[in-house]
Amino acid sequence: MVEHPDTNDPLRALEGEVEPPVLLEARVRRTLRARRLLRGRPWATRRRLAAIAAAAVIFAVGYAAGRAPSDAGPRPEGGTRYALFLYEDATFDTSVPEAELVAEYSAWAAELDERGQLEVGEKLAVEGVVLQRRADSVVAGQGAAASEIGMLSGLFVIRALSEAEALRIARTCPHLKYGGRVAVRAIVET
Amino acid sequence: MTETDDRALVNAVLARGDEGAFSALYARHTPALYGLALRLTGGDHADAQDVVHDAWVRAAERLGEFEWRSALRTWLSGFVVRRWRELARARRRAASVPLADAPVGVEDRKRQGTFDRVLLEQAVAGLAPGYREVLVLHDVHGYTHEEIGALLGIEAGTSKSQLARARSALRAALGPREGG
Repeated sequence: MVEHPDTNDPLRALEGEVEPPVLLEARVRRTLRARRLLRGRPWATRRRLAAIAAAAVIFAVGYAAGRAPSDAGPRPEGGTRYALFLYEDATFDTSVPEAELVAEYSAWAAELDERGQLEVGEKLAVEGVVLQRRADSVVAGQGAAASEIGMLSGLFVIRALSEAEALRIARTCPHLKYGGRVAVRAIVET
Repeated sequence: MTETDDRALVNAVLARGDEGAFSALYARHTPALYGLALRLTGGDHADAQDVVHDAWVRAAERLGEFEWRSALRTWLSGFVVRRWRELARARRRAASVPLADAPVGVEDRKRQGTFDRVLLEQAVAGLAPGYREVLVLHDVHGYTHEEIGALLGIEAGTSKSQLARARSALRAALGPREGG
């Protein structure tokens, strides 16, 4: 492989590496375990995974694909899905390297996933586009992440048996200890 | 990242089914594989996840056959490309997506930064699959024409000519741009 030859090439705006969704690795490993290609030591490796993932190039993209893995682990029967929206503002502790944050958040999400309570876990890009219809055309503007309570920087969808349980889970989210806010909203199944 | 590290990890997976070693391999290579899949699928994250999942599973099944004649990542990328091609064939996605369908107003195309990247993503996604593969592998991921030839089963010279046509198509899709 060679370095990109033209530094003025607009294609440089397209990152070669894109951080995959948190749940994808669990999905791959479950398949490989089922095919006896891996012999799991899940908890020993999850922590290690988080540390390694944090060292990787992080290019957060703002998409939640919304497709639950087809071979997802056991989930609690019943219950409700709750969306946890993570916000941060100028008071958010920026002294912690992003790699460490990603590792900590990933470990937290992995624990939920292990219990079958995590459906989506995504970091959202700072950049975003807002589309709005005006007259005869759709116009685009920036500021998709901004809101009155800060910048929307992450999204989790969890499953809990009650709002109290959802709040208990949300209280353990590492985002809070760094000064971020977590908004908990029940998902209305239609 | 060194080949020695990859070899040690691969050997641990082959010998013991070592999940920790697999996790290290996964963390090391998946951002590049996911980025590749994302470009090939035209930015479809759900498809990209399926492609990368299947690529890793197939690669793990054939890990013992890898002869280290290329970098491990190049070998893994081959699984991504082949799985994407299967998916594209199955869904008859040969037709390109016209830029006219992009959900944005013409008057906004002068915006810079994020919006430029959005346009670029759309333009790349709108290339014919053959052009997109070569352009993404060469210009985004830095593979040589020889490596691309091996990955796609074409001659290096074909890769070069495809790249030239892909760049030309991309320029045409993006149109004249103010300020260069």
